[in-house]
Amino acid sequence: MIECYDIIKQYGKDCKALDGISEDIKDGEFLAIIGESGSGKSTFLNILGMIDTKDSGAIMFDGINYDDLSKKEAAQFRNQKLGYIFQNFYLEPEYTVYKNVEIPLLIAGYSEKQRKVMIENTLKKVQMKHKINQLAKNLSGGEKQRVCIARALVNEPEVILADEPCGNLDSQNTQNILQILKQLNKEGKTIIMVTHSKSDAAIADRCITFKDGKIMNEKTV
Amino acid sequence: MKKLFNLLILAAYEFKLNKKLFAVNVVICGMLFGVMLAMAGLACNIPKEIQDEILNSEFGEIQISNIDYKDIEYITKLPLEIEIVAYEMDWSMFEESLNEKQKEINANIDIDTSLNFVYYFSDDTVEISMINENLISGEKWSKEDNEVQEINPLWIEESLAQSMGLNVGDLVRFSNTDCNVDFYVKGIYRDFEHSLAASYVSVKLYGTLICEQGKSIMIRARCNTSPYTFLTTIHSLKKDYFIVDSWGNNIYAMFLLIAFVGICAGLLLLITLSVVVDFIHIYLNLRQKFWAINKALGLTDDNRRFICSFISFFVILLSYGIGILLSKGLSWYFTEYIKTLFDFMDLSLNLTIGQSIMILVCSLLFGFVILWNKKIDINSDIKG
Ligand SMILES: Nc1ncnc2c1ncn2[C@@H]1O[C@H](COP(=O)(O)OP(=O)(O)OP(=O)(O)O)[C@@H](O)[C@H]1O
Ligand SMILES: [Mg+2]
Repeated sequence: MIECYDIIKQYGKDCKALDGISEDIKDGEFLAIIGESGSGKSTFLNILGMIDTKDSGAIMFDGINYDDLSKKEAAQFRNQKLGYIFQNFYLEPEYTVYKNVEIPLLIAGYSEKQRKVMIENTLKKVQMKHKINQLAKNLSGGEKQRVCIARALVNEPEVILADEPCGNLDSQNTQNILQILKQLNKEGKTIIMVTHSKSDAAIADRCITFKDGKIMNEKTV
Repeated sequence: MKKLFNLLILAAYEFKLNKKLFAVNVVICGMLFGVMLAMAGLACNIPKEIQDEILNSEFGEIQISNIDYKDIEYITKLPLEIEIVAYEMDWSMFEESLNEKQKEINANIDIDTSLNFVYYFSDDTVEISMINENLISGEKWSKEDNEVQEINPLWIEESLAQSMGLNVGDLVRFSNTDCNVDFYVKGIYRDFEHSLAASYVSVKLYGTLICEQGKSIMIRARCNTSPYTFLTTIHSLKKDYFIVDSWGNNIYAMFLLIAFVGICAGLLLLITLSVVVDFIHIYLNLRQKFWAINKALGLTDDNRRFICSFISFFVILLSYGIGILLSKGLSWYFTEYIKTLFDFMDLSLNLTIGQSIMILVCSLLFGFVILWNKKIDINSDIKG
């Protein structure tokens, strides 16, 4: 599904955030990425999610080369194929849950009716339908993360990129979120999750470890 | 299409969320628009009123003793319709004086006094011969002995020209026993008293007379051209030897004031629009993160610019509405004031609907162009 060849990303002169990453991520796979702080996990995910650019290397997504996409196509690609879950949620605090989840659909150009159905279904999946009209700023951390997942999911993307989705959550909420991700994986979504904790990574099919911008070892769980 | 509509929904969300910011923007710009529209009303309507006043009115005079051929030529080239009128002119005296002059002329033809000669030509001693050769650019005549001599321009009355078979550009030589004088026919006129073409001859003639009587000749200007022409004409007249009277000066000052008001209105429009743009800047700075997140969700820069343009459209529309209301009040005040000041009876300073719409369209276009400018883009990205 996603093939990466020798990705290099450098900040400044000395700081090689990614130093030749090659990885093949299969369709429907649940991949966990662990590693020390500063090892380049987020950078890798950002590059996969087209939020950041790479210095060299190539990424193929279903045969599409990232480098071949224009800005507009890239935006559309992000919107339709990728769902991004951020560590610190990045929800719009003054918007209701509904509106927060609605934004990717607005961008994609769905009609009001379609949007309503899709949002309600997605919120049901993450058990947040009862808070649909609440402002995002009034939600708890776990709830915020679930809304964030709903926003990443609502467009039916093929791949979900999650950067430490449980980083700010207690163990109860962490379990909850992990279960949701696992469920999504079972439904056929490809999931790439960055995490600090080895125990969180255990839920994944496969786990790779980053160190200083390189992949250290690989193990199948 | 559906996507654009969806972007408008997002714009509406943002407008609602930041309503306080935009309300301040609307109030400020509404007031600016109000003053601007009132000033534009002044600048657009007053010239029309003044133009009516200008029509058929005199705005200055000239001392006849100063005038010569060049002046007349100059006057005829002015873009105003100008008549030279001699009030209290005693035409019988004028005739008498002409007769005396004619005697003088017959005695001694010289260039200056002979200018009216042909008009009152009756003496057998003068011969007229036509010479249609060696005319060099209408102004110079080379005699047989190769001497270059300036040729006098001549205006000639229509029936006389017909009887002599003269056309414009023809060369005519008047000769008597003493000397020859050459003329070229510069113009043919029909009406002695009112034709400017005749002025040269006539002004020369009754100039002397009027000066003897201690009177002056009025210039009557019809400003059926634009106020701008009026302004430039008065300006050039002032530079020269004309004495523009106080009425002319008042009108002139008034026009300058109105022009100034018009320029101020234009500047105010620019200021108003730049305030809108500044507010959009403030808004974008406040909402950097929001737009950065949306970028990660697949919103393009163009989409964001579209949304910001739409918000600015909305702000401009709302403030324009407030501005129109405000300008109605201001215009009413101005109208009352100016009516009493200048005796304009049915003065209305409100802009017409067409003018208002034109200003609005300009504003919207301006907002669109400025906001489409890439400089307004935010440049923060979020990283997971
Ligand atoms: N915008 C940037 N400018 C300069 N250096 C950067 C930038 N972003 C990341 N880095 C550097 O790149 C390296 C990798 O960063 P990255 O955020 O990918 O680490 P990480 O593995 O996600 O760490 P953490 O677990 O703490 O989130 C770090 O050394 C970081 O300092
Ligand atoms: Mg990180």
